[in-house]
Amino acid sequence: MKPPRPRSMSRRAAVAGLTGAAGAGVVGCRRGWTPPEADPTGRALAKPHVAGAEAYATHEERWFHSACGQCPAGCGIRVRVIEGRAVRIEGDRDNPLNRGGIGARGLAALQGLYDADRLTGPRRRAGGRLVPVSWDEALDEVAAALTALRAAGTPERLLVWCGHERGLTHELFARLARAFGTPSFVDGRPAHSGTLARVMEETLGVAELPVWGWEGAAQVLSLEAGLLEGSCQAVYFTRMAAQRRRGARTRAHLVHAGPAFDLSAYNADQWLRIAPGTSGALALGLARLILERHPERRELPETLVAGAGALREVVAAYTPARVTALTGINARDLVRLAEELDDHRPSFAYVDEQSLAFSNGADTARAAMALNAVLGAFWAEAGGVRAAPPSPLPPWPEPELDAVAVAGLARPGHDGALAAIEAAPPAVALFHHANPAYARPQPARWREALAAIPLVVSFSPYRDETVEAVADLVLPDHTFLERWELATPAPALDRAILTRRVPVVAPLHDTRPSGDVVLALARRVGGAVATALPWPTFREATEARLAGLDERGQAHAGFWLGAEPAPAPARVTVRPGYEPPTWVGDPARFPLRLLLHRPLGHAEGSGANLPWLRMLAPMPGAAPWSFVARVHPESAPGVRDGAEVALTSELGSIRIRVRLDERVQAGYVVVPLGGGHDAFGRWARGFGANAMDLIGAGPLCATRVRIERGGA
Amino acid sequence: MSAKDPNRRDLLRVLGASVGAGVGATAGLAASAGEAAAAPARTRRWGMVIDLDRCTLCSSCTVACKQENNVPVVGPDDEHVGAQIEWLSILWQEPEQPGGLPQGMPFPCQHCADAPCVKVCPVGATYKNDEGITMQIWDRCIGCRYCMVACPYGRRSFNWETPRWDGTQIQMLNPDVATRTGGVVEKCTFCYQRVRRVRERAALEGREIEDEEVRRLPACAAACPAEAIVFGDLADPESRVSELARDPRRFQLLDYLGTDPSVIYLKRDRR
Amino acid sequence: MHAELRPELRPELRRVSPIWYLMVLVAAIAVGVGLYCYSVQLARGDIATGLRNPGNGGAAWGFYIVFYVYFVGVSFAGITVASLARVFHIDTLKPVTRLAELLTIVALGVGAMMVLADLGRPLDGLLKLPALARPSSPFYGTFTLVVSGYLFSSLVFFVLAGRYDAAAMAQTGPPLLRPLYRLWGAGFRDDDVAHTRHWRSSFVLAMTIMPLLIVAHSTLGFIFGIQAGRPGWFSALQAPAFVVMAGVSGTGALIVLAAIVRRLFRLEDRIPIAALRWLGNFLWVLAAVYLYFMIVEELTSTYAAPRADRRIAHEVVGGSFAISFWLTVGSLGLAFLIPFVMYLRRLTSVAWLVVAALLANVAAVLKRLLIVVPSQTHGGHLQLREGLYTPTWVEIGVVLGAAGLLVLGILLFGRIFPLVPTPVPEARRHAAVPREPLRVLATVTCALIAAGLIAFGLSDSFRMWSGDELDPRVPFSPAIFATGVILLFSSAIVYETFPARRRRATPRRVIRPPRARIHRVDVRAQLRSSRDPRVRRKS
Repeated sequence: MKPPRPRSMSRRAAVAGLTGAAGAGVVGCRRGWTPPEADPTGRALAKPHVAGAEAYATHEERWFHSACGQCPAGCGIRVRVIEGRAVRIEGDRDNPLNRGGIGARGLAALQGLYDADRLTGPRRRAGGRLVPVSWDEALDEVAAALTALRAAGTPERLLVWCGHERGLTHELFARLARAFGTPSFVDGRPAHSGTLARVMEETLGVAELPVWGWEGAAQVLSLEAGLLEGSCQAVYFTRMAAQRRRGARTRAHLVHAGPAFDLSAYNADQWLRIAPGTSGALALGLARLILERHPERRELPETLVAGAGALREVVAAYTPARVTALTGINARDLVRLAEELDDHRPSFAYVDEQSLAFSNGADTARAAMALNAVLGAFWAEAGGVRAAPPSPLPPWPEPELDAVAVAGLARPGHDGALAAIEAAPPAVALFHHANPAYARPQPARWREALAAIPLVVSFSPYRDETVEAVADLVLPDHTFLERWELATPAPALDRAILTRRVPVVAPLHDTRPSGDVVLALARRVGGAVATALPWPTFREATEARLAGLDERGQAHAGFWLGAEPAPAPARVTVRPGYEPPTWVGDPARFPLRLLLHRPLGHAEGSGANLPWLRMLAPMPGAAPWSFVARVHPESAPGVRDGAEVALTSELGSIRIRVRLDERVQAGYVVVPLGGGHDAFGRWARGFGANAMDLIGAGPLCATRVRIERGGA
Repeated sequence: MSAKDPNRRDLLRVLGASVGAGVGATAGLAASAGEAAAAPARTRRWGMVIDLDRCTLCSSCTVACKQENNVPVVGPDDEHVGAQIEWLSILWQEPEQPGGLPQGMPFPCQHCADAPCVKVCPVGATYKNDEGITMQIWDRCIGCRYCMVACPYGRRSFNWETPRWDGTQIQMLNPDVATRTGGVVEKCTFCYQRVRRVRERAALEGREIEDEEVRRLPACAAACPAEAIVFGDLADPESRVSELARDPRRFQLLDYLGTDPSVIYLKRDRR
Repeated sequence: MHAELRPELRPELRRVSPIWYLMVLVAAIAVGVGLYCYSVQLARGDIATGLRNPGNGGAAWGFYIVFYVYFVGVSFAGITVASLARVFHIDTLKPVTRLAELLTIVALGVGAMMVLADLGRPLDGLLKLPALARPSSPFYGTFTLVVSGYLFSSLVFFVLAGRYDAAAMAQTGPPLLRPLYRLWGAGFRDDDVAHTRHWRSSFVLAMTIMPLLIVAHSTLGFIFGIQAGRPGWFSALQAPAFVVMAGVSGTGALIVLAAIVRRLFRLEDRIPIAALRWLGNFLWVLAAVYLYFMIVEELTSTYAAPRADRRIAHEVVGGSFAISFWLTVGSLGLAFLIPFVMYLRRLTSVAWLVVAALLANVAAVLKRLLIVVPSQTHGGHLQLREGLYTPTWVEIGVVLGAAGLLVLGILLFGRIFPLVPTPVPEARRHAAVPREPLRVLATVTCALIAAGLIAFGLSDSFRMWSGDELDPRVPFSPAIFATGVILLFSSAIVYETFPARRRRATPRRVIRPPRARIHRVDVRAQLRSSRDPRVRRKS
């Protein structure tokens, strides 16, 4: 099927008309209809009238170019809308990220849009229950609380927490926090604030995930990464893995070092079962072997690599024998791998958040970067590692701060740590795309801590745990298919991409885009805050933000592609080192070590309310709808395959089915994230278990557990 | 299927033939032979090549299929174990020898040239259409499930209960594909609604269907980020799908049963 | 008018054991339970059953198909016994022929209900099968041959054989039912010509029914046996094995039924033990043949069979189906041994015979379960998900209801109609039959029309004249075929009930046989003769 020609102008006009119509007159129709319950005769299949359908002729079909907002990858999508109903999402073939392909998460966005358990309007907690409230009342209440904080001169008692979403809404929240005067702004974007981003800043000077040169690489070593499942760019990597195997003239090899058999291990040409958390040692050992192969050449001049001298000294200690002892990978494989990485250049070592989920994460990232330096991968001709391209949007002018804000920003703020919030609860907390009452370690303690905050505001479109258990006010956002957004995907290509999301359907419910809500709040608070956020609507804010867009880029329907890659820095800095991972808990009482991972269907906020994602196998070969802990048979003596067991750490206990799997490293338990919701809609509730109950603050994989038969 | 209404003359002929069954049978056969000759000469055989060396098991195809074809979600509780409706799922094959590689593969209906399910259907609800697709008329199915037990691939699913589309979920149903009721068997159709669309467009524009426009036609092929699924006409030796089907890595599932599937896999190639 | 038909010979209609009432109550409760369970299934959908998709580790066919096959198998006995008795003049079996035919008819009806219970959309099935059924599906044979041909031929056999007694009941039976008896009797006159005509027509019917029987039961076997994609099913042995197993279960059921009816309706004097012994001998012969089949089957599927077949064989013999398998072997072995030992020792114990017969039926149900289920749950050529099939209470309830209906049907029928036919002496079956060209013409015309309908219905069902259409050219062709089959057997009814030519103005007086020629049945003499089979031949 040939995609319809992009008609960006007429499309834009149509969309504008669509949103206008939705706001004006059709609300009544929507409210008049009650959702049909199960009807055994199937007569319930009569579809109701939807808002926005007036703009369509009978059975008229339109395709909207937009960008996916389900995960940080931000693939280009085309949405098929018939009579105002979105019925299909496809990949955009023009988008260089995904070239027409699309991940399961993106496809499931439709289920997120039409989730039967969405919030249908703003809510206020009254007598322990959430009751409907008008937007004006809700906004007034938040604004009053905010104004009071500023009047009292304690703006730092506002906590603003933004989740994974990368986009203008996020920027507006950050700007609101700054102009308001609170240092307590929690940036939940892993690509921006995670360990790897920090190490990349140290190495390349850019606090973003690096760009990996898949297109030209001949060999890739993945160090315990969630390459094709949990990574920020799984769709692009999937496409590249396939293309580098079959599409290219030379076949690239993928070697995956990982503790369990996951999709990356399945797809690797070679899978090395490594002791978890030791891939830093593997990288250093490989660096040593590669350096040894070229005594005559000076591989790492100090002029290009700062710290090259120190590197030689550090890696000298990582002899193959020692690396074998640390990682469990035999010396023969090690030597062969070093030779291959060296011979098949361009090659690089890949790490992502999953590789760094151990206590020694930063060291692992530094070791991987040292190995990449040894391999000459940084800015290699084709297929090297580069810094993320700079944002195509010029930095926003800093908002003018008034005295209250200046004073507030100078005081210490929250960085999202539970203990700090318990010690000094903020007065007002805003959660956008964040669900700490479920998704942070120790959710039960989080709920208590949040309950101590006088005003908790959630912007979630869904009834998640934070909404159900603790929120005092809920100002539900649109889903990304109903609103405008300007977003940059997680880095993948060497050129910058800016995507523009458009509303493809009229809003289903009485929800509002959080960008608009932030602007409305700023207006109500007034003063310098209102001056910092002067736009009447979010739509206009996007136009204003786009004003400074780099002219040299290429505009397409739905996205904008930058003209040139990030410039190479004069030199990269390596600071290799290695510490063995540490594990919390008494080894005698808790003999096993817990490995958490994000399975294929895990979208941030867990995707658990989307049955299409929920039913995906959490590991290759599993049955649909399975949620199991995997463990080596020798590590769980007396436990039957498929039995339900209690998994207990020092901090808590969960009940979970166990699958005996010889492909898991002995001594470890592998548990997927994303189960065990007690809210979040009919599909999420009561399915699986939440491993966050087991772990404490700190890295994801640093907890000892034990398995007890028969449950706790 | 070309729709042709039996006219009165045909009816009379058939009624006349019932007096002498032998004569009638001959006449009927001759008549149908004559009609077949009048049909367009070009016969297609839609087929699919799935390159397992490209496939990463990202499972996008399975979700895309559910979205396109209004495949109902069947819940996670114990009662619904085994009641899943799967037009396309991932087939997982453990190695036969210890130490071998396990293999996962996207697993749609194989659209066998000699389909066991078609033979056994007591009411003709499932049939081979003249483009080689094993089709099913949902509303004709009486739910005897014979096709399910006859299919060696297990690629047919029964609606063990009437599917539910809770609340607003109903709005995302694809209007091009009928929903099925409880008590009916359903299966992959190679997204025939899309094939029909392309054919109609080609007919409107007075041209043949081009290979280019069908390569990623079914929802699974369209969604595949790895471009592992290629669709096309196996009867056309020039098509991309035929070209790939000549790859030495090719194999068909259970080829020894003689079903001749239209889905051709290319072996996974690992070092 | 037919006082000579001696209704006083039917004391069992009034004299029943109180257990009869208890059994009717239990059976009625079972039917009620079955109806409730089926209503649950209709309301909730088939998710209420334990059946699931075979590719996802379930079995798409389970209890319903098992019991469908079982009930149809049980029906085998009736018509076989009746046909054998007629074709080979086995007078020992004569007293049980009506019971046998009744069992056939009721069991077939119940079997058809099991198919309906199995269908996802039963009403669509009722409409679409007659309209669209295709002979290329083995289900075609099931729905047309078995249900129409087999059921209807049994019915014709039953009706014609019962006319003699019906005519008598029309005078002495319960007044409310007399019109029914009169209809059934259809002007039967107790003269030698009528008996002779029936003797002739029943021979032709029996000779027609026997091959039909083999075909019908083979069709059941073919449902499984010709599926190349199901290891464990795909075997040429299925068809003959189904015929034999049908015989085993049917003979067993008939023995149990005859033994119960003997006690319940106080018919010990009318159903001689020799009939039961004959059935016992038939049972051990068939059981022996089936045991032989099982050995052949297991040897073939374990010795050097393909992986998938071996997998199923191992699962059946030593895996999750092992208990059922060894129970089957044990039951069938005993069902063979008990009557065999009795045969060798020239003993007859009704109680032991009933035990053997019950075991034969247990074996029949379990063996069908072992055929139907493992190939679906463990029978993938591919490594599909494996699982287990356990019937839910809904399925068990529906099957129970069907069994209750079977029992109820027989019990109630036993109260309104004699379960043992009035014997007709050999001499009365060989009278000179007057030439009646009109009668022959009517019969032949009926048969010819039937043949035409069969030929057309079958060929159109094959879509021979549909071109590339999916539908038959004429709507309801399969129903036309079935009608043809029914009409073919109805020609026997035409032959027997065609009004006799009136030779005199007062035919009644003339045709009524003189009193001296009325044959009196001496019960004591019959009892005597039944103890010694050799006496019977001479009388």
